[in-house]
Amino acid sequence: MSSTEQGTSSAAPAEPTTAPESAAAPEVPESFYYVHGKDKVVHKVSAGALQHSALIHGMISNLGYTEEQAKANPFPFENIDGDILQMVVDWCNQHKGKPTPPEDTNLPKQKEKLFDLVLAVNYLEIKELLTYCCKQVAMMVKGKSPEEIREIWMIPTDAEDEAAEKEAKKRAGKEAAGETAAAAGDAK
Amino acid sequence: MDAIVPRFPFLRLPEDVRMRAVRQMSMMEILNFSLSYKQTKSTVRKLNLGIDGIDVHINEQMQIMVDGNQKVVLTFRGLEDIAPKAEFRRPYGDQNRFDFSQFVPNPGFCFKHWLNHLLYIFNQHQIRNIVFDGVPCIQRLLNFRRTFDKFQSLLILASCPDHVAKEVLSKFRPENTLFINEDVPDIDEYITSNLDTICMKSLLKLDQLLIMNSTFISIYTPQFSSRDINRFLKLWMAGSNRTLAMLCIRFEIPTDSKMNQVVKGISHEKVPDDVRRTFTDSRNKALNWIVNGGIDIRRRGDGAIATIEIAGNNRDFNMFVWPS
Repeated sequence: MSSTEQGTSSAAPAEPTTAPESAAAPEVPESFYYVHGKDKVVHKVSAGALQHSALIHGMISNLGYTEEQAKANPFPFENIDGDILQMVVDWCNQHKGKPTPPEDTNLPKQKEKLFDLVLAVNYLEIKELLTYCCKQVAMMVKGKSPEEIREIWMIPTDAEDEAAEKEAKKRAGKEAAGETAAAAGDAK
Repeated sequence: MDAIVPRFPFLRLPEDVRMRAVRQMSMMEILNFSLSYKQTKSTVRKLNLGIDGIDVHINEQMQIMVDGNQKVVLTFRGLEDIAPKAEFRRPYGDQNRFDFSQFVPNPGFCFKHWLNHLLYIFNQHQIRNIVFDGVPCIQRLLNFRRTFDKFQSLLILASCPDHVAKEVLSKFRPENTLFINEDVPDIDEYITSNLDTICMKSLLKLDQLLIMNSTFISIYTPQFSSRDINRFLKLWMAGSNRTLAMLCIRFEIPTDSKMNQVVKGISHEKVPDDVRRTFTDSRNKALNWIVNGGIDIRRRGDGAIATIEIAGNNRDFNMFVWPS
């Protein structure tokens, strides 16, 4: 991991140049975009890092956002918690312009955050990160029995499911009866 | 289970994400997952895991084999055994390829339930192969037959006694292929059925060959004279074995048949040896047979052309009927 540039930093470091032709080419200043989550904290992310997100990349190319416009109007992701968005931004920065390794050791280890992270990553369409996250989800049940899988992944038993279905039907029936009675009352 | 075990609301994930996660699991975990809930069964089915097929082997025990990149083998001591031994084999190249498992997911399923469960989750509408190998552990074969519906191929191996082979032939009718690796007497009534493929080891008789209404016939025989081949070709030209696409007769010892005896009295055309033609096997489009030269004969009536050859150091007589 060579670069750990944070999205919130204000300075834009020069792009590392590896190929001889790019060394000869004039340096183009990197453009930055801004995103915020539910907590309204704005994260500054380079265009290179945002390439990972098909959703944001699509928004930038389709809407033709300039850096100034983007600064004035950060991309709002109200459905994503601030700390989760920070994790995603960090990951995108760490993997900016690099091929993603088959195993990623930089993923958050807290299982309680994993669910929100998966939803956010899926929403932002970050394919590689989603694959890593799904691998972590799968690893939770490695070597587990059906009962343990049920427990860990909060899967109801068939009996619990049937009871819930019955309950839902009962409730729906009661609601329908209530509506009919109300309609009859109105008619009178 | 203690309180520190992490809990994760898996079913609240979008369906495509759930599928992506399950795809990352090994076959053993996928199987365990499929057993955890009725909906997880359909989740696994929707994955379309692309296995090669599900086979059933019968000998002194019964095995269900899921064949694919990863393999699963469940071994039962009988039809009612609810504690099968499970073995999971990972893909080639995996350092832990042979992963023998003492732990068996035990949902109280017997052979029939396991078979139906596996056919369902792996999207298979029928068993691929039923293999009889030796004396079966089941006394009443009919009870076993009732545990499944259709199957593609029936394989009777040489270790099966004749009486078992005959009983099997009478009770198990495959959809496509019959493979008998031993010479079982008096089985003419079973080889007349319209099977796609018949492969058998037998003391071949001309009458037997004429009643086989199959597309692919492969026979391993001690002998079949050039006179009989000649008669068969004449009858084919007159219209018998109309569905035949390929006939391979392999002789136990090289035949002394000469091509001039085989084609005696038959109008034919010698194709130069440097003419190379490709015969596509309709059972497997990826499989091509290369026919170098040979002798072309023509069927009266529809004009279908077949090429015959004696190949493999006089061990094989092959006949390819070209699609019109």
